[in-house]
Amino acid sequence: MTAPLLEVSDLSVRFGGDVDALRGVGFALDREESLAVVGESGAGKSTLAHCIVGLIQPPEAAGSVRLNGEELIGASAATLRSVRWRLVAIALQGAPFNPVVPVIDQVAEPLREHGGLSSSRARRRADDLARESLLDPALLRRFPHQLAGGERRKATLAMALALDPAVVILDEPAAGLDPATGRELLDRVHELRRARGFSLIAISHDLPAVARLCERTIVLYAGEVAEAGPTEHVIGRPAHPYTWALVNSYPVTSTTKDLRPIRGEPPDPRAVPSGCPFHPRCTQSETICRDRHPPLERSGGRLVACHFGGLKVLLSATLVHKAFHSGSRRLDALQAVSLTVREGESVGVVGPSGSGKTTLARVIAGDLSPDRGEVILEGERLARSWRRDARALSRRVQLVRQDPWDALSPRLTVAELVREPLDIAGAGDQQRRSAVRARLESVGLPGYGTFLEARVHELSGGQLQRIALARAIAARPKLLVADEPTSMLDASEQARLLVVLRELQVEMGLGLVLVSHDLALVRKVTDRIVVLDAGRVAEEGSSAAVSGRPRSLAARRLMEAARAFAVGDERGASERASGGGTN
Amino acid sequence: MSRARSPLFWSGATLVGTLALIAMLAPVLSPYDPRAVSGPSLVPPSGAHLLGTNDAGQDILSQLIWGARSSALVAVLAAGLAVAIGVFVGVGAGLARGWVDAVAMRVVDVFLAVPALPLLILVAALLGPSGPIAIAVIIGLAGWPAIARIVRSQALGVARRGYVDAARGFGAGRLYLVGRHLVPALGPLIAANFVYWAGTAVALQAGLAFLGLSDPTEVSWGSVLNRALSHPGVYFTSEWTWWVLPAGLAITLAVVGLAFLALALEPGSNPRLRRS
Amino acid sequence: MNRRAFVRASAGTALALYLGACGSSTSSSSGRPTLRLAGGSFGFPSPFSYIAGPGYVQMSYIYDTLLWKDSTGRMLPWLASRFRRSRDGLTYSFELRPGIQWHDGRPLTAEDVAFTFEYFARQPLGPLIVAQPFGVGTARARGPHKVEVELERPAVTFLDSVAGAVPIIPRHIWSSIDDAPSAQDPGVLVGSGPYRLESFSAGEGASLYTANESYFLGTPFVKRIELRPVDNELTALQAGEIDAADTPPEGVGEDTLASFRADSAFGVVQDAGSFTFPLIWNLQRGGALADVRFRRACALAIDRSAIVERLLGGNGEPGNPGFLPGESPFQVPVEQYSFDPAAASDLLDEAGYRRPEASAVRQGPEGEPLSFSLLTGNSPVPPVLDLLVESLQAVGVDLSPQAVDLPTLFGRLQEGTDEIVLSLYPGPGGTSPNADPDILRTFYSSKVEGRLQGAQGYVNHVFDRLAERQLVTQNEAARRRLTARLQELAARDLPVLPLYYPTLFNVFRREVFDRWYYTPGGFAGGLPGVFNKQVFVTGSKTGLTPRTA
Repeated sequence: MTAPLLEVSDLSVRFGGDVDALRGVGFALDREESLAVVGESGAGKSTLAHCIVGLIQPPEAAGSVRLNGEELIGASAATLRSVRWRLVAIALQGAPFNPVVPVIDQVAEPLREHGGLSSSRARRRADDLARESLLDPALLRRFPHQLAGGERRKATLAMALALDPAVVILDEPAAGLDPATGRELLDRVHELRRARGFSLIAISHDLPAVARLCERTIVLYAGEVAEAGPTEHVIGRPAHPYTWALVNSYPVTSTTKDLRPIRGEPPDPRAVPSGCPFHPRCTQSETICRDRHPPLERSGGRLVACHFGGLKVLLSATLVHKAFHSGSRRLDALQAVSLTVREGESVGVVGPSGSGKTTLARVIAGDLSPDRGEVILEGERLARSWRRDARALSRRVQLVRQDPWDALSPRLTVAELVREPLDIAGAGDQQRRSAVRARLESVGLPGYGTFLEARVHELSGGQLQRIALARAIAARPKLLVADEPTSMLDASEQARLLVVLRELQVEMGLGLVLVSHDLALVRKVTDRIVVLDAGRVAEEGSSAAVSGRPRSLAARRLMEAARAFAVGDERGASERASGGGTN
Repeated sequence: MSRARSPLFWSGATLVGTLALIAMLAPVLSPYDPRAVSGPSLVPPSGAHLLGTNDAGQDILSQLIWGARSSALVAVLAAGLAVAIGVFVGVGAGLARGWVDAVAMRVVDVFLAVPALPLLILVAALLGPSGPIAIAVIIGLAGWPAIARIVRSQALGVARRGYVDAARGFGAGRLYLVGRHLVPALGPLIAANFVYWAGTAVALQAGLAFLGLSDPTEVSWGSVLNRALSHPGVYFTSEWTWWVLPAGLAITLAVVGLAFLALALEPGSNPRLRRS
Repeated sequence: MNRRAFVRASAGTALALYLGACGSSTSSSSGRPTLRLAGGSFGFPSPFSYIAGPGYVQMSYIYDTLLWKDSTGRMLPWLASRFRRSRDGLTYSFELRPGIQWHDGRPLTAEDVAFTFEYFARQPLGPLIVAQPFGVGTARARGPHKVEVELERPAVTFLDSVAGAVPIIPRHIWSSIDDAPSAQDPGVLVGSGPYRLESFSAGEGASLYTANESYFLGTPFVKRIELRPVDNELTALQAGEIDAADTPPEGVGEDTLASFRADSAFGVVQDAGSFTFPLIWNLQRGGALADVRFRRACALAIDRSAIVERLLGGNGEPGNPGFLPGESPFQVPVEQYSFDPAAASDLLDEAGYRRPEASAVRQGPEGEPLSFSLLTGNSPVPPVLDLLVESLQAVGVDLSPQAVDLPTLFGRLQEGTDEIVLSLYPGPGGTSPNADPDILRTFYSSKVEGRLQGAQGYVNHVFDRLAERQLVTQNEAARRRLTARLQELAARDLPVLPLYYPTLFNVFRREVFDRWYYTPGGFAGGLPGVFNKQVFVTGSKTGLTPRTA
């Protein structure tokens, strides 16, 4: 078995003695493989690229970078010279060009110096490379400042490809380009790679861009590998909470959901948090995350550095059956329905009236016991019981009921309603008062004054729905099951409430199950949609897929009934999304 | 409370309030010690004895005033006990459902099948004559099953309400649910039942005393009646006008007043909720 | 017969009577009257299952005795035409009237009389069967109309309470019945008496007796006796539902009687001393109860004269510590413990029952409070109760009364475990100038067993011996001396204090019947009340001969 083309192991880089840029990064890249390295700015992506081409050496760098069996860390200048351009070439993000020399001379330089070509042949070859890189060769005669950003980027690509290296590193290949150009360039890289057979490392914070380009992806966070594996897994179904958050923060057309920023700030490389570096921003962190550094371990077809193997499963309902009896009649409300909700995930449950949506909501909220099957919340079986631990568990999932008049006691004031979960949990008085205010204001209701003393019969349905949501949130659940929570709100109130929900999801890693017959609403909020019909799961898939190309009759009907300003646009978007990166 | 009140409520409240005040102020209002021989026997109403005296020379007005106290004590104790047990069993059964509910309701059925007054008489006769507290306990024990049944059916309804499930979802325990949701929701029902059983207790106490089944020296309206009606002279003279009539009137007013109140407090008769 | 049927029947009867009265209104007293009287549930009127005195009275309409009293209090020859007593007082021989028949036509013979005594002795009968041949040894028929009765020991009360009380029963009916009390078929009610039971409703307390037209003394004057349930006899009388009404044994004041006295349509007869309210201390309970000084102090603290005056307006007599009422010729003066609360307090202080502070309950030598439960009846509660409690409270003795129904009261009296008892007692002998002082023995003596009411825990052997002697002595003067001694002892030891003797009254409608009287000493061994069948049979207060209509 031969050694891989490129093997990075335990690579650490420390600048100025206290800035940890990379910490123990390791991966391997074989011939003709492609690898995306993604992460926020400052995650160590560029440092990693620089290490691979030998630009960073001890004492800053430690560990090992072997290229074609040759150790680059600590290698002699001669060795490095022999390797660079010929074995590994990098297209740097910033302009590496000398402003007073025409670009063509600079592109040809490695051909002359490392390839041993004559000046004229090198220029001709440079013209070929420019054409391959979709750059008009005439532009090469210009000075760097006479080129547009995209043209310069193409020029650097041409330069990197000059000596036909085994490994090509692209640093932010599409940064600063208009989408069409960026796309064109990336597609070109793809073709070139196929034609020439080089291995590719694409470094970017632009997830969609590199996801399109590379078979494998490494997610860096604070100089460490958070998650590594096939791109379809890492980007398509993120496991690490950071990857999940990263993916959600990108505006892409492959999800219909709104953007959700990652909470908190990227870590200061001078003071990387102990334990798991992501834990201060992570919504599912526990004590162990602060205390112990998570190893990079195999989990779900990729490597994940998380104590929990990645995003926790908040709720899993397995093969739930529920029947109601009325006299001798038996109504099977749910039959073999399964549902999984992960940390921070939003799942829509849609279906026509009587399809069992509300029953499913009540079952997964622990409000009803299933006849068969089980509901596991955060690893514990959810059961309707008076036992203390069962009650504590039930607090972790909150159901916002469809009918707020039923769900809110007519005898309590607004303040009492919102603080009820805190009363039950036994929170401090001060805490309760401030929480009441904060929660009410978060749902757009006044958190002070006479409103606090109002009672149910004095309020509108929309106000009541928001109060119901506010008190559900006041219980600080991990999973919120909302049954038509906005049915009484007008469009702008509804939009506002959904923004609140999104913020809460970011803030608390809140899992959300949104039950509604309104597919147009649900697809805006959820990652996945489960379509119920007559008590069974008719269809399940990503929100975009279900709303864009519904397969089941129930889903199609719902989609047809959904409000739309322009049906044609929706179609187009969904077709593009489902077409992947090929068109 | 600014609930709009019916004339029924106000007349009931006035009657009951007045009698309660009399009961409270008995030591101040009463001209004589109700047990003391304070004058000649059977004197008709006069300045010295506003309602005359009985055959032993005791002041009848004083006996009626102190009788109000005894009645109030029995009413409050009996109704309190009946309501406490009834609500406990009713709410417990309604909340627990299942076999607890079934067993509790069978017990209630059995108790309900036994007519209260004969049972009371039997118990009172077996236990021997008893003071107001014992009578209150007996009446309370006779009253709870009816309350338990109606409270249970209401509690079942309330327990099915979304806000109760929501509170359970917040991790609420049984005590919380009962104290915060069930009992307040059943409040009007409980109040009406309390008042109803207070009235029943007054009537039953008077009845038992009238039948001579209470402590013979206890001063109560029933015992005034009992003594009066076992005095042969009341049938042939005007003694009944100051001896029998006022005592009967006192019982009637108390029972009617409490019945009015109970009716006015009946949840069905006034569904409006308090406005702040 | 159910209630409705009875009401209809009695309404019909009333109508018939009314029409009859109209038809002969000039001489309603000369027609044979129907009497409507207060009924009540006093058991099946057989000699073995009636209940107490009122039950006996009904039974006596059907069954006769050897002797019977009239208004003079004398013993009249009834079934027996004469009797002889042996010198030793142990043997009585009775000569039966000839030709007496049972209701079924069979002749009444000496065999029946002998059988009666023998049969009674075989039956286990409770104290509610008031007429039993106590003290009878054997009874033998000495021929078809002659019976000899031998006593176990001499008893001066034999004539009164056995010969004049025990109903003679037909042998041909009862010899085949083993368990007499449960024989309650109207068919067994075959007597020789002046009336037959026409209808009977046990639950309602209603019955109808009709005259035995072939009665051996002649056709009974009163044709029918209707007993109907009433709540209050006096009001029923006033309403015209009944023809004669007893005042309650607790006594009545003039307020009750005034309206009747003022109305000439009504007549009133009265009887003093037939009842008393004895206050009985249970000496067995020990402590202060066993301390005669305590009991005397209690007596001193109770103003018995004032009680009679207050409750009955004088229609009664203050209680005599010697037990017998004033009318009794046997009564002798004894210590009266006249009302003197100061003396009572002094006596209690002296006996060591001190008050920790003024108006507090006294305490015994061991600090135990002088607090006692007082058992009494509740139908009705004795009116004197409040006054009694107050009187004793004034001297620092605390009573907690407990009023129970009669069966409970009697049951507990039998147990004899209550501390103090106050109950109405039917005695000590009525208005009789001949009231039998044997009541002293039956009430006080520790030798008497199975009595319903009496002294509790009083054991004085001297008293018991003297009481036995007065029973057997045949010497009148000696008996007076003995009973005087008994009264003195009773007053000195004071196990019982009679509070007062309420006077009984019977108010009646003159128009229907006006020959009512109280039998001196009571009839049938001391039954109070006016319902002596002698007057029903004869229509006269004396003698044996029925008036004719």
